Amino acid sequence: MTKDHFSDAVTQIGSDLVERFCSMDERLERKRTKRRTYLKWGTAAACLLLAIGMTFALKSHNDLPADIDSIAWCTQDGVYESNIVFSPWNGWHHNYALNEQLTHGDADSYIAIRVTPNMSYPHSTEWNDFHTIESLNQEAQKFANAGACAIVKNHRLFIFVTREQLKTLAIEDKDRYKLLFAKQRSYEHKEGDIPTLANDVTGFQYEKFSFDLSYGKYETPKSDEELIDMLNKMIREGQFDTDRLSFIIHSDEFLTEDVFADMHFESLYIAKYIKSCYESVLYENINLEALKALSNHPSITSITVYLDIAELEPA
Amino acid sequence: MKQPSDSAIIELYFARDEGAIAQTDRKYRRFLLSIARNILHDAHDSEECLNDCYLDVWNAIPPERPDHFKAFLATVIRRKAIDRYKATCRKKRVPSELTASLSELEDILTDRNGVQSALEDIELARLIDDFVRKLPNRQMYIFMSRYYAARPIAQIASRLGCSQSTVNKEIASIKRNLKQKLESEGYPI
Repeated sequence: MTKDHFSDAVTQIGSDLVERFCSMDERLERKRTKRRTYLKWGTAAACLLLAIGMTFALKSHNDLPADIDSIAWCTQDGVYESNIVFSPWNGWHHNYALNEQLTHGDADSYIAIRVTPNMSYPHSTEWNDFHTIESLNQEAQKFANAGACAIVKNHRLFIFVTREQLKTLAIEDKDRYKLLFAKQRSYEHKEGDIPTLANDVTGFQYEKFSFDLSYGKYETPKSDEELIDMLNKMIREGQFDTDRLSFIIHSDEFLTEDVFADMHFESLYIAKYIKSCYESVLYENINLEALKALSNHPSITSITVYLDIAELEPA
Repeated sequence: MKQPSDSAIIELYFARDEGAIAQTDRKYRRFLLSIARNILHDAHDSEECLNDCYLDVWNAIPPERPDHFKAFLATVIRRKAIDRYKATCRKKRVPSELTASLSELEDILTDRNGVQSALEDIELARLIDDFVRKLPNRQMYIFMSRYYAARPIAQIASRLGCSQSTVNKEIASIKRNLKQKLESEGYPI
């Protein structure tokens, strides 16, 4: 058999076989194009992450106004008065609490405003959507470019402006945004006013803890000291618009309320069937000894700690 | 613009509408040229081959009504390209992918122009058809890519999303099995 014989024989292969080959070829080509697309988008996503990191760093370096003590924060309890509708203030849509500040507040004070752009806004614990984070950072950039101090914190956009600045802030499509008077923790903001838990309690079963420190990326402490550091870090993170820590506790058996009695939880929800409970506590009420006792409870298998971000608007 | 279906194109051939060739060219030019180029490694020759292929198809349909139009076209262009390849080879050595792929089969093929009857040719075609048909899909694809479409190893590996050495290993296994098959069927190698 020569090469000619062989190639002639291959040419005579049945057309159904050639058809099978052709269709498989088309399928593989489509798959390859898809693979290339994934690669392309994977690279794009990596670049985007880098961009997000850089943008976030940029925002974080935006200094707050120097006269920080005069920043006006919302001190109301967050009750939403849905029936009260205010007409836009210089083109801005705003809520009832901010209206009071805009019309009667100190003209020279910086106002802490939470800006809600009209965009897909995921729930606080579902922030793996980098596209949305990027969009929020772009919104922040717009406000920063217009001269406002813009900060993205806890996946929310805050700006700090005086009334005069806000009136003349060159932002297009003001209709897209809703301004809310940003709530701070229940006490007035002062440097060093953030409560810090004393790092002197030992004996935790720290391996049961996981902290949602970077929105979906959990970290487990490796020592008692690190555990309290993580709690403190989380309290500092919650500087704006946040005044609680939440604990989700899983157990092997159904737990009664008395197990949590010393934790000063404001709210306690115990799910009977999934053997878990959801609790939130004010920073200043965190009882480390009680938390230690919980971690040492034989039935409790895990304790996950989140920031509980208070809302001024309905969920 | 949406491509016409194969059956619509075949209907144009039956209506002796010259638009049939234009539609065939629009839909399959890239595919057919890739087969011709892999065999001939010459753009000018491949282009001529493609035109010859269109003429053959025009003459063949009707009366032929192929069930698999794309496969039919592939067979025609391959025949044309192989004929041209043989003609060119008589004058010079062609640095084609077909030359490379056939060289891989040196332990099965010989250069001797032995006496081979037409009956043996038919038998060989049947054996190879039968062999390829029984291969697993992946090996069938590799065999057809390498020896029918004369594709480079790198291209096959890229399509399959694997390394070239993996493809080479599979080719070695296919060759081994083909040799066994031919020997077991008593085909003279």
